[in-house]
Amino acid sequence: MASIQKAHWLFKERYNKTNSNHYRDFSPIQIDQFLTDATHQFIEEFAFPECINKDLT
Amino acid sequence: MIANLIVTYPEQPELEAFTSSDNVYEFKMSELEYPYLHFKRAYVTTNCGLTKVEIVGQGRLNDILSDSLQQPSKTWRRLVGTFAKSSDENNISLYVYAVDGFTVDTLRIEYVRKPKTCFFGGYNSLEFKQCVATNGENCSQYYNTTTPLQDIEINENYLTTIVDIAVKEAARVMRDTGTVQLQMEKINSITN
Repeated sequence: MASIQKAHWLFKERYNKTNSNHYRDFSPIQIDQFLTDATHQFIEEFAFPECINKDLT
Repeated sequence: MIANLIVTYPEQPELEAFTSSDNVYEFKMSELEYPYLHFKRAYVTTNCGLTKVEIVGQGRLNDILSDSLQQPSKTWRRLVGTFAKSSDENNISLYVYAVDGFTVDTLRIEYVRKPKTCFFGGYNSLEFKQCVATNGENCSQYYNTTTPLQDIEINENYLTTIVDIAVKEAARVMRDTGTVQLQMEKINSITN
């Protein structure tokens, strides 16, 4: 299991350019949604080609 | 990569057929232990022992059922299955096609389960707010301010790749094409 706190820290470390005097930073709910979407994308695009029956379901 | 999301027998107990008629047996995916995402393998217990189910897409089903070399056969211990809508709800069922004298009892299925939504804590999820607003029952099942943190259900070795994909998606939302391009290059170099 990958730590959600570490994931948030890594996200901000790599992409904190929205946090400025002019723009608000991404909120936890937004980052959670990005990470959830990324997890699904990871499964579909990178991990799942191992499964030959993907196209069936 | 996603081995911890693959559910097999006996963690996933055998499923009983929900309906059966004319040698077609329906097994509902909503009755599985975990939310279903993708299919891996399926076997059924029959009066001829444990038999593998060959899953085919809807496009090939008619051809296979009418082809004597591919259709279900007790002699060759061959069964055909396909996914379609459940008979009583808007969900997915696995339909197993058999022949006279070749009876199907239970299903052993291996599948990829849907990972839980990650949760950093400190806020009420939209599902929780909607449940409260509509006076729904058991609203505490949805993420809210009292729910503990929910980690990402992917092996920690792939955390940086997950974050890279998340950053790419965030940059896409911000119309930050430079970062999108850089992140895509990085992800492709790791995974290809």
